[in-house]
Amino acid sequence: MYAVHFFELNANSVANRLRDSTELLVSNVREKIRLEGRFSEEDIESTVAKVSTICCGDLPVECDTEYFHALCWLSEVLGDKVNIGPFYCFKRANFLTETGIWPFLASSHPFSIPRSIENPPQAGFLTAKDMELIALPGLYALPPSDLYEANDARSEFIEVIESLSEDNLDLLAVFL
Amino acid sequence: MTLRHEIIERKWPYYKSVSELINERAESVRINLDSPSFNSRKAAIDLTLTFPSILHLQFGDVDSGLCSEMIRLAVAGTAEYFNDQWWRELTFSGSNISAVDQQLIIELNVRALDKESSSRSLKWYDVFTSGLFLMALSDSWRNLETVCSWFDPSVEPEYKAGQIEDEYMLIFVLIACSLAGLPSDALDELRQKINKCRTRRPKLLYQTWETVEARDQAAFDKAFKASVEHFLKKQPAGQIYDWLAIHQSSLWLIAENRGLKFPDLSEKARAVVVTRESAGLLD
Repeated sequence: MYAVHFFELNANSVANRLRDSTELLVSNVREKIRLEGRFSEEDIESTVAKVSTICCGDLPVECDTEYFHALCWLSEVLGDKVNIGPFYCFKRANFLTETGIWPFLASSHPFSIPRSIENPPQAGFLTAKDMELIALPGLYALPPSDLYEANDARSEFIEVIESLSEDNLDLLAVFL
Repeated sequence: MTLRHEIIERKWPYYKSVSELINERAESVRINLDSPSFNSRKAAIDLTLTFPSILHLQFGDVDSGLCSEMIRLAVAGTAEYFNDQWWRELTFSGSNISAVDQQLIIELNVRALDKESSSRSLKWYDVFTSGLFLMALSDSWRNLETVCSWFDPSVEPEYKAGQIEDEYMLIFVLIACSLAGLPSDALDELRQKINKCRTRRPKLLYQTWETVEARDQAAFDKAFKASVEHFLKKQPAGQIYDWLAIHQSSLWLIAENRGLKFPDLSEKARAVVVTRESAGLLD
């Protein structure tokens, strides 16, 4: 099963926090994972090490899936998770292509995010400015997919970015 | 005259005839409402939505007496579901359920319904939303108030695999707490959480509820219409009651009880809102 996890955040403020408060962020992520009560200390430390690497912007050219999980944990500390139901759990990676949303998650980001030649995992980013100027006009103009569920997912995504754009917030997406 | 299911372009979706389905479901509801398992009771209360939905959608002649009886049973079942006595005092005398299964049923009931349990995973959403509709539809306001007294602002959204927004579920916690008479300022935190939602469906339903609370006819007309129109944009599959705006219908029934008038809606929007009249429950 696949999922896209979305996080709303203020990217410029996040970039500053990643640079200035790395230790605090790493510690907060560790506590957050511990509170879940589902992971061994060994697993937690492994994820936290990846979080630390993301914070320092010292990412390898090719990142494994654990970096993307670490990005999700970090994003939960840095921003708020946005639930968009249809993207929560889907069976075919092609579904995301059908929605047509992913190409719009290509804004330049003021902090490092993991990359992979695999698909998934992938991470995408969309600034509030690009939502208004690029993503919303582009998404409104997309022809409907033959897949009803993909159209439904796209329309919920549009609702979310309309709302984020109004509040001048950016969106980070992690496809796993 | 165009029938309501024709207005929303739906056909009878089952292999069974209307009367066969009704009889089968009536039997299933009667059996499962007495089940020792919360899950079976939940399913029975959900399934009861079939009866008013068939009447509303005008799928042939249905015995409205049977429909009223099933609603009455499900209303009583909802009231019992949220009365902690049934699962605390559960006995299996004369039952052929094995001792292991009995223990499992007890443990699952406790997790689903015991608000004091440290491992609680409360299961309230489906029963409450269905029960709210059935109670409002059948004018069972006193029962509804009792059911609502089970709720407090700490009741969490259920795990729904992302298919229902947490904030959407919290709207119903808010409604329950409000109907139970909790002071408005005790619900501020809940409102803040709901307001954070980014998708439109919860926002529109929440706005509708706020207008019902305020008894503001003009604002209700606008918010209710927007919520139902948004519902119509989706093409829900599943049971026939999933084709209907059950949650908006519940809010309408509460609004009606508070003296508000039915808003001016398009024919299609009216076709998905269940009223006492459309469900054949007016004397």
